[in-house]
Amino acid sequence: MELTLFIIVGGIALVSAALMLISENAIYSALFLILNLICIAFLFLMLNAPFLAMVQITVYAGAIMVLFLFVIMLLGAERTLPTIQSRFRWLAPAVVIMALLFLITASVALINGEITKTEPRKAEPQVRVVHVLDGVASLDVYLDGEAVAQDVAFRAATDFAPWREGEYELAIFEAGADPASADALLAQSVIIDKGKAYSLTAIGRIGVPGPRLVAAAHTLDYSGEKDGLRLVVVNALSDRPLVDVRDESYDKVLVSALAYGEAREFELSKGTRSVALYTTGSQRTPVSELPEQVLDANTLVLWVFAEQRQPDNSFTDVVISLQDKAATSFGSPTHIGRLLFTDYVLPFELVALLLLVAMIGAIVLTHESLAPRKAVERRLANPPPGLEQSTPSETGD
Amino acid sequence: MGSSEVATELYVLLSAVLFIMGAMGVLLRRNAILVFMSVELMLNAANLALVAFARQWASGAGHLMVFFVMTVAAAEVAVGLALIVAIFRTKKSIDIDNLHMFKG
Amino acid sequence: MDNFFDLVPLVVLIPLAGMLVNLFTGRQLGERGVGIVAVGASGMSFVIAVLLWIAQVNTGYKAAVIDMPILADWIVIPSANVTIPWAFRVDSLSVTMMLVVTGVGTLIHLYAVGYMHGDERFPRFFVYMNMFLVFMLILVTGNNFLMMFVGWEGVGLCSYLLIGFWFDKPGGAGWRNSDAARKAFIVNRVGDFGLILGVLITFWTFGTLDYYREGEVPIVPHAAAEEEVPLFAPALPAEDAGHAVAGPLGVFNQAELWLEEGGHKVDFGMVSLSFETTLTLITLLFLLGATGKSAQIPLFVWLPDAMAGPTPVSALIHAATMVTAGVYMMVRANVFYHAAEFSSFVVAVIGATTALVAGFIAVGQWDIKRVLAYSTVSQLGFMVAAVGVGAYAAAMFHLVTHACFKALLFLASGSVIHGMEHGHHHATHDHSGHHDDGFDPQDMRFMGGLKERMPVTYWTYLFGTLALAGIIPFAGFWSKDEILLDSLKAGVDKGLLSGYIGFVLLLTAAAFTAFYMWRQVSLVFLGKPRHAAAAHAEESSRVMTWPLIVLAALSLLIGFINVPSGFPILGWLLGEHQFTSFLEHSVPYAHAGTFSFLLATFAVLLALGAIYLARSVYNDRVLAVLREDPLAVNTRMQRAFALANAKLYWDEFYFKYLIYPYRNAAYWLAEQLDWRFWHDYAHERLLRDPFNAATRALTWRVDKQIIDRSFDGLGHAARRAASRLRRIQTGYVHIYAMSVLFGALLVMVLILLPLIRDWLGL
Repeated sequence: MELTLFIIVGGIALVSAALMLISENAIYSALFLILNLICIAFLFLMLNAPFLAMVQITVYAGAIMVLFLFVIMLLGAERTLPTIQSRFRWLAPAVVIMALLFLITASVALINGEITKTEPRKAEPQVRVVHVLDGVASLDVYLDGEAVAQDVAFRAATDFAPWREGEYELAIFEAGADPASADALLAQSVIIDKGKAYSLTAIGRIGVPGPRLVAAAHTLDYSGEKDGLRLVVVNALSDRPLVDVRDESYDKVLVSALAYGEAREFELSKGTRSVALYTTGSQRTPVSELPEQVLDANTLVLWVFAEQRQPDNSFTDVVISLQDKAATSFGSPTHIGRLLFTDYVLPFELVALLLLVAMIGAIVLTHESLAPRKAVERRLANPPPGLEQSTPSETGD
Repeated sequence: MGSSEVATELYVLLSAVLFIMGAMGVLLRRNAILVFMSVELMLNAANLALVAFARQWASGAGHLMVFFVMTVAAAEVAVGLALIVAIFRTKKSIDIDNLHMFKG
Repeated sequence: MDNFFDLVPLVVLIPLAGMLVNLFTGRQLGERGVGIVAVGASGMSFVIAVLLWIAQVNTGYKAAVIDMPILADWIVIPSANVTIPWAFRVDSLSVTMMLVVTGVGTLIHLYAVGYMHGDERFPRFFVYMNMFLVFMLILVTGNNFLMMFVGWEGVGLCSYLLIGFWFDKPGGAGWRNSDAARKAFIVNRVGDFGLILGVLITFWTFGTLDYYREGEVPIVPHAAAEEEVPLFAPALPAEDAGHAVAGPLGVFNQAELWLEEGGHKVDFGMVSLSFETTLTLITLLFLLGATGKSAQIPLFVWLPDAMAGPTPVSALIHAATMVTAGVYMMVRANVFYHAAEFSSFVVAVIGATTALVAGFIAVGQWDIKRVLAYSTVSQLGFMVAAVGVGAYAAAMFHLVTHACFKALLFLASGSVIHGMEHGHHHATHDHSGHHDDGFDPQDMRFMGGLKERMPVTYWTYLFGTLALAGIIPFAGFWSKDEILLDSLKAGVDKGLLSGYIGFVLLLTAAAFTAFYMWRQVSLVFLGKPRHAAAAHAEESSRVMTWPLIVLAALSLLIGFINVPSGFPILGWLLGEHQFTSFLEHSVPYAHAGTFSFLLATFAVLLALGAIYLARSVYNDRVLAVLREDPLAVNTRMQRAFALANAKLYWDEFYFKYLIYPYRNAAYWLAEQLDWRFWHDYAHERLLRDPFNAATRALTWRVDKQIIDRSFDGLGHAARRAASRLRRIQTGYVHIYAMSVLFGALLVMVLILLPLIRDWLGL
């Protein structure tokens, strides 16, 4: 689908560029160039650069090209046929040869190059601990013997903290236990990758079916088109093997057939939602409900549906909903604006200065009294006879 | 980002073709305004490559560079068109083959 | 009382402070301020010297060594075990010298305030004067030979600066002044060469230059016979490799020990000399130094010329203090001289000869200050001769009395000159038609009859004359009589030849002294004025006459400090040889003489006879009609007078046989060796010509033909290439853009070269 779009848009861009080059009328050339610029703006969109696409259309295809058209019309230069034959006949073939050379080199570089073999830079992984393991008051969690979180109370969660990527031996102890001697409640290996934020969720019950760990992962390097709102749902209800998550407000299934101990990530537009959990295949009575959730853009949301043993040995449902601010999505105006006013303030200032100088330059160049005088121009064009022989032949003797 | 994305190489290839077309326009056209428009085409080709690489590297620097290129292009157009107007006033022509007073 | 000795650095530091104050603020202070600072500094020094003397008396003449606060470790070479501290020595000898230098110095400073009034370099004069005091006091208070040498050179410098003080006098006088200064400095160089050699040999021999160490007591020879050696430390091991290493003893006690031991050798690398021979060598070299500074034969020629300086300078430096430095030095080294009999003999002969020769020359001089200068040389000869015959106490005694009456005579002569100048100014002012008759305010032929015009000067001058002539009871009688008696005793009692020679020469010199002094009094003060200037002369100001009166009183009284034993009444009244007993505590070989009534009577009668003779030759009647010296017109005395007037042709002798040959040799060397051979031959043939040849070769072959051509070629090539290349600059934008694109493509290909190579399968 995308490829087709690319081929069509790219084709239009190439054709419009070619037409721009060969048009005799400068007005047509300008119009073809505008078409070309719009195509490129479209390609920017496809490349996850919506802000640049917008700027391309408004500033480039809009403002700058208007300036071109204005000057063309002002000078009446729309039709400038070559009055005399170009004096460099060898120029055209040379240019064609060089163009071919360039394209061949570029193609070779693209084919043999390693553009896609290079992995894109990804964000450092982040880790937090969520405790919904029934029957334990609070937890200590260790990765390869190193404490991630200590004394996490039931239904509580820690904040995201940066962690190193790699494969780890995870161990969960009751709070205060010595990790060297005490028996772990749970020992399991987990893989922590770049570009993800892990919620290490301890679920289950002591006894049957036993403690269990879910490494619920949010994607950090996000370039999706939604509001940057990413949700992860964890099913921690041991007696309900498969559940569906439904959006009650829009009457839509968000996640279907979620198994016990499974986490699933999905996207959602921002807004206020009421969400309910049903046993798969049933729509009558919700297992659990999350009414009136306010979901903002660029947020990482974690819903954990869990259970808690009551004094009368029955279980009640417990829902945990956590919201964290995510990094802004790549290529968005926010992202570019933030970069512009943090890391690139100095270049931005310099460019602004350059624009100012250009403004002054445009005024100076076109101002009548400041334009170069005719005499000077003539003297430069036709130097006086003595000037060319002015280098004395005696120098150096 | 699924596998349906268009490969970066294709964007770069398109950019290279547009670039060399712009270069040919600069070299072969004698209308000063068209030469200028060809320069704009070259700049856009470069921008396209920058954005494509920015996606590949997941780096905002490419976008920023494009932003700056656009700004510089605006400045360049302002000055360049002013030059063309000034030249047209004295020469009554914008054929750049008529402009060779800086010869050695 | 002991801590009074700690004041001794102040004796040096106060004049130093005065000098610095005048040096930096002299112009702002004005004459009055400069005078107060200079005289005050000198006077405070004198007060401290008096305090030190009182401390000496009250502590039983204990000697003390006081370190200078900051300079205590002056020269320290740990590897060679050498330590030369900047230490002052307070003992009877140095206190005596301090009293003389600061006492007479203060009076002369005071006098100079009046004498130098109106001089444009008034502050500078007093800077020099205070500087002189600083160095002179360093000379006499130092506890080692090197400090003495520092002072010795310093006073030489001050002497040079002050003799040439009026170097810019108009009409050639300035040249004569600066010539005199140079002469003094250069002649002294010969003597100083001897002194520094002597000091170096002393150091090599003893490993130290200290006279005595802290707490050390000089071995008293008379006591040594009865008691054990009264030293605080045992004797040193006698032998050492190379030069001696400093022991716990100073040089003098060490010398005594080695002399007593006998057979000590001093190793000089190539040769090894016995200790006695070394001492003779050292003492002869010291004598050479003394002949320079104390103006003895053969180096005395500088002193008469040194009178070119201002009169206070003549009085202080060239009569009272600096010129006695040689005598002080030899008295300080009395242990050496006592042991070195040959040196003593030489010293005695030189001293006595100088006394007689200078006395003889003085008779033939017209310049009032020149007469006094030769008189000084003569009296210094007395002192040196006294050292030579072993009469160290007598030498010091004569030094003290001479300082008083010779300073008085010089200052009085300065007063006369001042009066004459005043009179001359007055006379020329009154008689406008007065022609220039070659008037010289110092020439005694233009004087006469000043007794009435300048009474104070006359009476003080008379006191000085009588003291110098040795008339009882003036100071000169006591000291001169002691020298004569001691030399006679040295001959009779010890059988020393030098004693007889010294006695005969000195007695003759004493007669001459009385004669020329009375000649001077007759010419200057008695009779009628022989010139309008003398007729109009006026008495000097009070600031000048008061020092004269004080010095006149001293000239009368100072002799009573050392009344010889056996002198009737006075000896019982004032105590016998007080000064000698005082000096004995630091000068082990000082000994008191007994009084010989016969000799004293004979000497006084001889002086009176000489005075009578002088008075009869230079009587008022003859002087009134004769503008020449009566002796010069006397057929029998004519030649002798001419000889004295021409200073025995001493300078001419030096010029003919020393200076001209030396100068000719120098000229010859300069002309033949330096100019002809070195410059002309060596420089031109060996340096200039090859250099020229090389230069020419480089110029023509290398520069013109290789370098120039190659660079010309480069230039031509560049021009040719440029004329081709400039065609590339067509001015067409297309071509430029094409070039840029081509270059960019090239760079791109270069960057992607590995990829392209892979693709091509290379």
